[in-house]
Amino acid sequence: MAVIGIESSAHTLGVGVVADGRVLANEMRMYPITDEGIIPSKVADFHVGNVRKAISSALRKARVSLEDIEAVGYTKGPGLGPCLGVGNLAAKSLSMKYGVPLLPVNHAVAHLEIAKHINGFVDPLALYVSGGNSQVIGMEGEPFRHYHIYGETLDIGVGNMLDNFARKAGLVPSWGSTVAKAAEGGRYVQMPYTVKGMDFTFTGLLTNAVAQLNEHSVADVAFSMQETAFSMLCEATERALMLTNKRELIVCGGVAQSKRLREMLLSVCEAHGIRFGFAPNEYNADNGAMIALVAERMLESGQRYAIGDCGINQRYRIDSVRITWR
Amino acid sequence: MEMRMIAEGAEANIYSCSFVGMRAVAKRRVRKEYRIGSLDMYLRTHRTKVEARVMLALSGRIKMPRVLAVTADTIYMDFIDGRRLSTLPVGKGIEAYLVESGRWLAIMHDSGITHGDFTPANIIVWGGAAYVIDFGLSYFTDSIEDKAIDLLLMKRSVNKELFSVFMRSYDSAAKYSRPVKERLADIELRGRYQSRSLATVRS
Repeated sequence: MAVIGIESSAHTLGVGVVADGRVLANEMRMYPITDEGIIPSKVADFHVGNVRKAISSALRKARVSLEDIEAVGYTKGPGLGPCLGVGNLAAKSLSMKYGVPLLPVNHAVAHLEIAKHINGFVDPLALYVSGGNSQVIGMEGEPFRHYHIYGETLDIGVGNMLDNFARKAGLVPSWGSTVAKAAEGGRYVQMPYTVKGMDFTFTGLLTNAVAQLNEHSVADVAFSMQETAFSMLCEATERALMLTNKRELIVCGGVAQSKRLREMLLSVCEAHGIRFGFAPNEYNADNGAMIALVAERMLESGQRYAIGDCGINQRYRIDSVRITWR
Repeated sequence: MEMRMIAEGAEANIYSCSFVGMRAVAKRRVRKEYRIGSLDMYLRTHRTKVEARVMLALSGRIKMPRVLAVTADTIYMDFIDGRRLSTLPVGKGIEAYLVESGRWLAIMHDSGITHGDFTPANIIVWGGAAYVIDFGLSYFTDSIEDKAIDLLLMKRSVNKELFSVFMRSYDSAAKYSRPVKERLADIELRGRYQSRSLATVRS
């Protein structure tokens, strides 16, 4: 028996198959981003055109037939409404056609859980960094077991900042790894560094970096912006580690693919004797396997939902999710 | 001078030491290996300078440790021999200390200073009085938003009843509390933060 998970919160459509915590398939179709960025309705059209093929190819890779599926998980949110809608509809159809439970999964919980699972961690602090989100998260018990947000961005996600900078600086493709490549050999120029307790902001840094392109090389600006942003994230994370006394740290989400960020977080952990881990890149990109993994946990811990309660929520916050599994 | 580390923080380490025969505390911003040297040096010296300036500006106006000496990365100050308000058991006169804390924050804000981390963990109760500590995230500003965030941090750290005790005191002591209160309500309404749950601090 296996659980299928459908992820469609942003530009990537993902379908994963999981059985007993083991990933059998993790298929992805990514909307080709142009310089206009992401237009939700266009991405949704892309997902509609690909969801069928993605499901069948995931099942083929997993060597599982639809009759063997015991539950269907989908991303309830957070994400872009039109995109979430596609995964929601596909999941509902499967669930109704095959008469199996449907499970609404929180996207952030899924990124965190798969990294935790792969590293065999028990109670980690997590730095969740993606295009739309940047949060420092950890499990708390009151009033119910949930992932508490210790600190987060007060404006945009760090990934959004990197992508936006790439577009303004004419770097193609416009995402974080391109900025990282452009930053090689750059020298530090001063930029605004904003940490408020365990919260942080990125728009001031972005505006300043774009303005500095007039006076400094792209390499210097890219380097300084990246170093400043990642140092801010490390400081907030280190403060949360001190506050919570947690002994494990994971980094997850799209920006967790950054080698430099990983290296910096490892340094934070080494200074305090804390275990550090992250998932392979395919699980830091948006993917269906993580949705299937959490859906399986929800199923095993007894969660059941009426189909009428399985909608989408663009602002589905991680701290509102009840965690019923260990 | 003999220095013994008593607390390891994310930003600075705290040492107990003696200063011309007097028991004192040294707050030293140590090198963070994760960040590049130039940014690290800038943050350590700049923050030490701002923190010392804030402390000197507030000296004699609120209850807080007195600054004894300042170097590039270290501030020497009075040792406040009490316990953190966050570790005080319920019913130990917490309300009275929050009333006092509300007044201290009002005075800070009226002096054009935000604390930056105004929570019960940064209030030390000693000899029946509340002392404000850790000005590591404080700075000079007249920004309403920054002041509102001071209130937000306190609001997230205590329960509703205690926060309203704190707010009443802040309100009556501050010269311009209305725009700050309005901004606090505004920040909380911004979609992203509506559901943010209360911080629970394990000590």
